Amino acid sequence: MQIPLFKKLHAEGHISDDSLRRVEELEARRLFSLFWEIRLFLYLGVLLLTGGLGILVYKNIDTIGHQAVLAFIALVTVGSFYYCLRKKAAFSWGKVDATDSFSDYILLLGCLSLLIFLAYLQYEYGVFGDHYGLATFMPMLILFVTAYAFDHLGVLSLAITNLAAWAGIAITPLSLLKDGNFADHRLIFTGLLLGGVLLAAGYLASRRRLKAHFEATYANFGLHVFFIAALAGLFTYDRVYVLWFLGLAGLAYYCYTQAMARRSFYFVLVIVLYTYVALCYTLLRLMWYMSPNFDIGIIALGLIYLILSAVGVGRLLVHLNHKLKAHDSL
Amino acid sequence: MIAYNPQYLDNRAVQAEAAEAFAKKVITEEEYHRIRGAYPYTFYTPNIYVRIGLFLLTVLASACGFGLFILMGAGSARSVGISFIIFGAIAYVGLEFFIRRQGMYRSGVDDALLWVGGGMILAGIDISFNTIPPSVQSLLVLVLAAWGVLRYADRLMALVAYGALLSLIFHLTVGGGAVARALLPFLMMVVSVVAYLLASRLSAAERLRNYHSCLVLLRVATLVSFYLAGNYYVVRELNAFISGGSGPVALGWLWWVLTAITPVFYIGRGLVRKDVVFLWTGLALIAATIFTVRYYYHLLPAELAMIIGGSVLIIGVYCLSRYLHVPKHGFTAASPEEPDLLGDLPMEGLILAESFKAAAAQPEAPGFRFGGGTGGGGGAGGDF
Repeated sequence: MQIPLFKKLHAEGHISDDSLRRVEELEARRLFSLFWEIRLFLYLGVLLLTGGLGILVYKNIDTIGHQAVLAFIALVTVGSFYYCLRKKAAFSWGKVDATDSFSDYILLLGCLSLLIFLAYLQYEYGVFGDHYGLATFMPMLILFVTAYAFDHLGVLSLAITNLAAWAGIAITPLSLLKDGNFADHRLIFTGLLLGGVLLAAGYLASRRRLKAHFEATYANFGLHVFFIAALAGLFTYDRVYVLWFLGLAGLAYYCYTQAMARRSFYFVLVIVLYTYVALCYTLLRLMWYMSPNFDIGIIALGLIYLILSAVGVGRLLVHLNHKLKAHDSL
Repeated sequence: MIAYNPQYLDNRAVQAEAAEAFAKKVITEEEYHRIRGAYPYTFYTPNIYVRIGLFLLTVLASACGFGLFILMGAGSARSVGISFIIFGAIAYVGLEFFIRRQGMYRSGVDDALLWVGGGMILAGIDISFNTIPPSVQSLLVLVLAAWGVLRYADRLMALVAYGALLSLIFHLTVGGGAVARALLPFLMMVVSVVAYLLASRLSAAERLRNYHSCLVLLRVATLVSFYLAGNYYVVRELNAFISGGSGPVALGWLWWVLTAITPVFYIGRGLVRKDVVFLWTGLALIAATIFTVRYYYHLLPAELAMIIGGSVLIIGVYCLSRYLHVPKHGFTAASPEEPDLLGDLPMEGLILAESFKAAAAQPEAPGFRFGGGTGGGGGAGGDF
């Protein structure tokens, strides 16, 4: 905070002597926080260590050193979990405040090295047999239990990613963008189902007050998976695209009411933009249907529609944001 | 010079300070409201989500508007180029309109129109004239970006302008004979130092307060460009690029020393002066130095280097957190109590899920070739 500014405000009579003194005191004992630097280092450390261990295991399969590697990974896992268990606060269904950055990331390290360990066991000894489902189900279960037991949003995100892997799709943000691979019909319905399950999980979490703060994570993954699968369906099943659109719009409306109820503008934005893409696709398809040979008039009409609708959606976003903010100040 | 109402910009800064003080509970709610009443502004500056949404929609509307514009009168390459330029000018006019009449300030609409306007004019000039030498191209970018900085105080435009300036100097020097080329790294370092000193001096100037954030970003850019000008890899590759031949460069030891020392110096200075700009730039450049060394010398297999590096980082942080358990020398490990930009969105969780997906989904890696979910997807993206 700038002291000269507050002195000026004081001279103008906007703030009292006491307040000015408090501002000056606060500024005088302001500390330089290394919080984010520490978290960055921990993130990099865990990334490097687990990445290195993963490669090391992979390279040393079938060599003499693999027992030693395995023992080292087991040691890292046990050590991490032991440390976190010692530091752990008592379990509660509410939000447990994080103990510190260090145990946060050590828990992550423990989970990841455990996953590497399990993967190695599966590869080398086939402990889960030939059931692919079980080999992804066990890590997922462990991650979910850990996320709930230690109240860790990062592990929860990993668990959700693993749930999707178990269901057969990759849902991290980048892989969704890169190979939005939903041309496969089975994957479309898996995506819809998974999105629905995640949204329901989020709804239950907040409704039943079971780790209510996990809801945003569930809803975030759920919304994106659901809408991308629904859009893929809209693009793929082109005989019944109007039906898909109506279904999508209906569910979008339901999600919209939910998002407004929890007053999250981020979710409102996501829903509005996905629905807008679906609407544009459907309307342009209809225009094309009416005039199949692309004459200049219909192209111009399409462009004019896009311009006007973009302006309209922009105004809608501004309006919705205003509405949410008005609520906030009440 | 600046397009936004300067009085409002000042009032906005006052209100931001007051909001911070209020959030830290050092001024009372009544005082906070009094300050807000005394320093009003009517900018429309929505939150980051609205900003992103409006940005995307503005780009969409501009693209479609340009499509209509082209439909009305297309012809030779020259006339298409002119349409680009005219449309770019229209975007700038629109930008002024939204700022003046709608009071937009960093709302997404003004950001988008600034980029659309600059991009269109640049593309139009490129299309109209077939061959433009790279130095002239850099000059064009520099002029357009400098306009974006001076009139709209856009931070990214400041970076673009600085990059264009360096590119201009580079291309002029390369054309200037063998001696000039040999001195290029030193010239770049001198330019960086001068630009750094200038940016630091100017960012303290009261008169230029509206450009403060641009200048802070410029400081980061000048620190990075100084490092790059002396980085062994950059010097060697650029040298090879200019003179055609590859192989070790003259004064190799000097570039290695600069590569190693510059980040350490930045970090040291950042800690001593408690300067975030130096600290974070130095941290990022350490990574660049590690990659540079590994590019030429394979001291250890990658996985062992990763394991050792990761362990050292984790153990180091453990010691550091123990040491700063009680704040020492004005440093603390506790969170900075700044208002959280991202609200309740679990951003860190997303980053974690993204980075560790390979490890998390391990079981399907070796031995299993069953998992569905790879292979080329259909063209169905988020577009239409």
